[in-house]
Amino acid sequence: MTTKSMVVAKTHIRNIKLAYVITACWFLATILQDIVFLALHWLNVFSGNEDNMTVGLGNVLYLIIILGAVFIPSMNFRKMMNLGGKRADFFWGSAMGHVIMAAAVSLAGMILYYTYESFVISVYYKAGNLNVLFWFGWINNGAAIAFVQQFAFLLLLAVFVHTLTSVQDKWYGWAADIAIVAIIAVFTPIAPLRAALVWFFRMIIFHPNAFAQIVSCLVLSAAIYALNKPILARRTI
Amino acid sequence: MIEFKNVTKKYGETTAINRVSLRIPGSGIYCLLGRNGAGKTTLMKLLAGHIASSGGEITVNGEPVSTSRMPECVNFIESGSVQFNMKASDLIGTAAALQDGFDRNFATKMAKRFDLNLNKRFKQLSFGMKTMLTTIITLSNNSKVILLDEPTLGFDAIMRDQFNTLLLESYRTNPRVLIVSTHLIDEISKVTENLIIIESGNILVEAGIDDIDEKAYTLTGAASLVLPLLNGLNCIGKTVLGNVMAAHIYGNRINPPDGVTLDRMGLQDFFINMVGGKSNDN
Repeated sequence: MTTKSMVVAKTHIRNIKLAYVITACWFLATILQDIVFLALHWLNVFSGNEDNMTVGLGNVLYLIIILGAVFIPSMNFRKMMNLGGKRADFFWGSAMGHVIMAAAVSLAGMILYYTYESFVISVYYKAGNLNVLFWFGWINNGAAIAFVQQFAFLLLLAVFVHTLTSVQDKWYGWAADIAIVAIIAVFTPIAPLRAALVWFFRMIIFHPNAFAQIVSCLVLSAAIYALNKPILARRTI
Repeated sequence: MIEFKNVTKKYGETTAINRVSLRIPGSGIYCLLGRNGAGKTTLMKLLAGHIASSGGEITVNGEPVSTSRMPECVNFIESGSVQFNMKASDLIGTAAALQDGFDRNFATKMAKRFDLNLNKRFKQLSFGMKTMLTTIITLSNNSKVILLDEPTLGFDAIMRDQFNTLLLESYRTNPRVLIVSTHLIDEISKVTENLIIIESGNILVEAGIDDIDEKAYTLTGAASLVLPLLNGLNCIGKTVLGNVMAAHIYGNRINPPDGVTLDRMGLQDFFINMVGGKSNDN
């Protein structure tokens, strides 16, 4: 990885504005919703009930990861080539961009979880919030490890979406889409196959050993991202 | 050295490039001339390794070109290409960071000369200025082969003249292969040395401008005098008005008989006759 890869990563992060705008809209809407509910609660107009839940504000930021992973290969590839970039720089630079964004979103998610969300939940959302840090059990391992677990998961998510988006203009992209849907549809009703699916999700999400979950996500991320080498080599501009 | 050997490019059923063989031996300004859809951009994309050929072989300095092996020494940016909506100065800065040997001073000099507002974002620039920015980025590259696709699209006459001067300056400072695709032959002929005419995916002419100047001529006179002269000549077009005929020839010059005049054919007429090549005498 070179300085050029860093330039590519920086350019990617600067040029996924639509992802930022959409995420910001959802982010602000969530805050507004919380403000309204808290105000109603304090004014004793509406107290809600014990089952109230909200999507964790930190998890709203996951949208940046997903949309960024769509826009980088679909919109930024050609533009990068039009500035004289090379495919190898795009390959490494995009990887670097995903790493930086996954780390930033994970960090922001941690900060929001311990500050904003803790406050809002304690006041109004008695049943907690829909935050993967809590539901996947990562937060039980402490803030530092939870941050790395979330980062590894987000990186895997970004790499998966990036790779799938890269092949959507090819027949094998559609074949991959169908295969994913088929795997879920076929594996779920058949017990042994369902067990395999459960094992897979346990490895990348729910594994009680944080180290195993982190390593699984990182190894799988590297393996999936490696597929982009031949994909990129065949890609026309 | 650039070589195309029997190169074909098909888009589905459409053949964009048809078994083209072409050899560009070394430095020079080459004009790639053709009508819309003739295959100019496809030829450039193939050479840059932006798209894969359907057959044949392309080599640059003996190295085969493909999408997985884009030649480092070839730089091509398509005209009307999409760019990041960043300030023009940032786009130049990013290009400079991505390309080895990018001549930033040259880019700044060109931007100033063409009054390109470097503080404007790409989408805020006029069509001509967008083309200009893309052309500046391409031309500032230090690569040994530069491909300029319609670099004067949207330029006014003064800008086109300035562009030609700068093209020449760039070549004098850094002699290399500059291939310029255009429709505006008479203007580019002031700076180009070699002409490649492409039509319907086929190379029709590959010759020096001086050579064309020598070989392209028009015989004008009474049809009864001109017609017999055409036997054995490569007549690329004819115009008949009453009983006066103008026959456009590409080939060795002849000594016309009395009553028939021989005039030099302008490049524009040469191009029109080569790609149009239709007589109006029937």
